[in-house]
Amino acid sequence: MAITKATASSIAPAAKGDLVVGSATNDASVLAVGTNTHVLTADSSTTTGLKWAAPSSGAMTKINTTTVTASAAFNIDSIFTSTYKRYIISFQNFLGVYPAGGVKMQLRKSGTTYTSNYNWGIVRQTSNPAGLWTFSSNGSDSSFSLFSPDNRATQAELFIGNVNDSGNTEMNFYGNASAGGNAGAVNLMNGIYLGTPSNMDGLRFTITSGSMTGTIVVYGLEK
Amino acid sequence: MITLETIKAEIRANNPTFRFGTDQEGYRDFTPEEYEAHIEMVAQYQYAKHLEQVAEAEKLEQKAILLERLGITDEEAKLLLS
Repeated sequence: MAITKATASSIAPAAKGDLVVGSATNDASVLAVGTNTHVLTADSSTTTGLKWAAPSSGAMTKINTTTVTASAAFNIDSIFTSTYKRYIISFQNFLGVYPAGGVKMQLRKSGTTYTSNYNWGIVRQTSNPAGLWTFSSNGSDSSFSLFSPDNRATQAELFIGNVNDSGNTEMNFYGNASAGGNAGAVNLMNGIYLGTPSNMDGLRFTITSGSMTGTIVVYGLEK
Repeated sequence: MITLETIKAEIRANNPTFRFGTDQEGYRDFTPEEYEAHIEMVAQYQYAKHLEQVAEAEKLEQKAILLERLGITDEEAKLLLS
């Protein structure tokens, strides 16, 4: 049967953009138009099996911004989900108040901090003596050892993968941070978490002396 | 020689409390359990650094004694080993 304008109007919902959608066998529901620029996507948890949602940007999404002032420890929870595979943790103007020690990071899940099975290695280029590279590592530590921000603003990036997944969490850290009190030193750190559970959802930061002040921004990278 | 307990006592004296939290969620003092755990972590870290410094100082001292016994300078020792 050809659908004429009169036929369509007889079953049309009340509002512009509304859709008639099958919601069960021999049953239909009205799905109201979504927000401008949102797209229709399948979702079995809704009555109609459909929903309006923001389209994936295919890019980097800012998930969380945390600022701290003279904090000896803090948590950033509910940042890792199955939506993203990899994350960038950006330390912006991050400094340790003198005498600052090393910033340590642990993984968290549902409010519990995990305190073992961190395997990491750090290569540091120091400025005193200039150009000297040193290496340190730990095969089974209570945390990842990141960097010593000392008493100056540090810019650094941490890349985390497989953190909310079935694989082992992997991470790489690149920081123009100080090491051992030497200004301008470069830290390159690679680490892996070898414990369980594997699908973590948050982070905890502590410092081995002094306190932390600065901003941490968490970005998710589209799969 | 400085002991682990000495370092802990010094950290406690300098830090009657530690602050937990963020600007967004607010701040609170560490609980007694958190305080002790943090003291332990900080002390272990500082003690390990102290042992490294002691070992390095001993190494330099032994080197100086050996050079004196041999009657040569550091530069001359490097030349011999090159």
